[in-house]
Amino acid sequence: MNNFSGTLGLIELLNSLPLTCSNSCYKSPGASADVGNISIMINSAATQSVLAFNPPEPDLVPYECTRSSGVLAFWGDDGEDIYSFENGKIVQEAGTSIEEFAAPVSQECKKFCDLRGLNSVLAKCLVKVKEIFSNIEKLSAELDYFRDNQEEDSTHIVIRVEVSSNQKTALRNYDRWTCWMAKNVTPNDSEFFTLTVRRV
Amino acid sequence: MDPTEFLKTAELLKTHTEQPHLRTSVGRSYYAAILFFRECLKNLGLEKKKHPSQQAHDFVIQCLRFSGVTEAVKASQYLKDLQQIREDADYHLERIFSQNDAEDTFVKAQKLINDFKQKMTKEKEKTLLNSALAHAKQKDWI
Repeated sequence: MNNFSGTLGLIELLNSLPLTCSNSCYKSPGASADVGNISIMINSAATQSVLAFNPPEPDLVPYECTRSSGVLAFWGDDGEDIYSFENGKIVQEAGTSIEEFAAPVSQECKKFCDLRGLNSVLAKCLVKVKEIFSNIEKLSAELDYFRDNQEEDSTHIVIRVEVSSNQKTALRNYDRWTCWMAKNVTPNDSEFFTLTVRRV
Repeated sequence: MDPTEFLKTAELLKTHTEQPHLRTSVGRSYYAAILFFRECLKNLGLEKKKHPSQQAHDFVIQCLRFSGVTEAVKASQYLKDLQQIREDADYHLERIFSQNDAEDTFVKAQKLINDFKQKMTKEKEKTLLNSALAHAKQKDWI
């Protein structure tokens, strides 16, 4: 199980943040149980909690000892804020994870978007789907992975739309969607998105 | 064998109503498309030589996606979406596949191949090759 040995920047970052927390836990991606405790770094007078995620990262190259990137989540009674950091520096401001999506998005998908900084892209995609497709019966976003892809983490977002259109309209709209994706979403982001269109 | 011949099988199967036929039709449509593009890339000189059995689909899709040619980027999105439908068909047994699903997947695969054949020019192929080659090297695929 993972622990803080590979997240040097995390500790530095936590020590540098003006935290006021009374309890804390550390979780590895996909793990259901706490795997460590960082309360020593948290001010004991606090009332909030902190949760730290390690992001999926490729294997270390020889002589490389550690990486320091991931997501910190701070929450209190009024909701959750997410910070992303890389090399000990915050790259995503608190509150950006509370994105207003135009359709239901699964919790796993939201967390994945937080980790990858894809919240705004997903929000933009969902708005565009609503704009392009007519007669939408159902629209949602969830996480999936390609089962035959044996080498790399192939986790990606699936936007599922159900329409009550005829084939010609549905396929023409789908084609418009792919054109929009090709021109408006960078390859580095678009590789995390798929869209399925079902005529119902 | 010309991979687009798989479309004939897909067309035959989508006329049936049973789940195995419809799901297999979806799979044949996807494989017609992905193999067509794999062969196109191979003809341009782009072939996954390192660990060819791994990430074979990703190689094709990403070479197109990072090609810098809009038609190819668009094709990569079609392919990835078709890959999703094919995975749904082969692994998500709880989902019911309809003739609409098989028919739409078939038409998408057919259109994807035909559009690419029509819209690619020698100049675009050259751009695709240079950009995709750089990406493939960066990924240590070539």
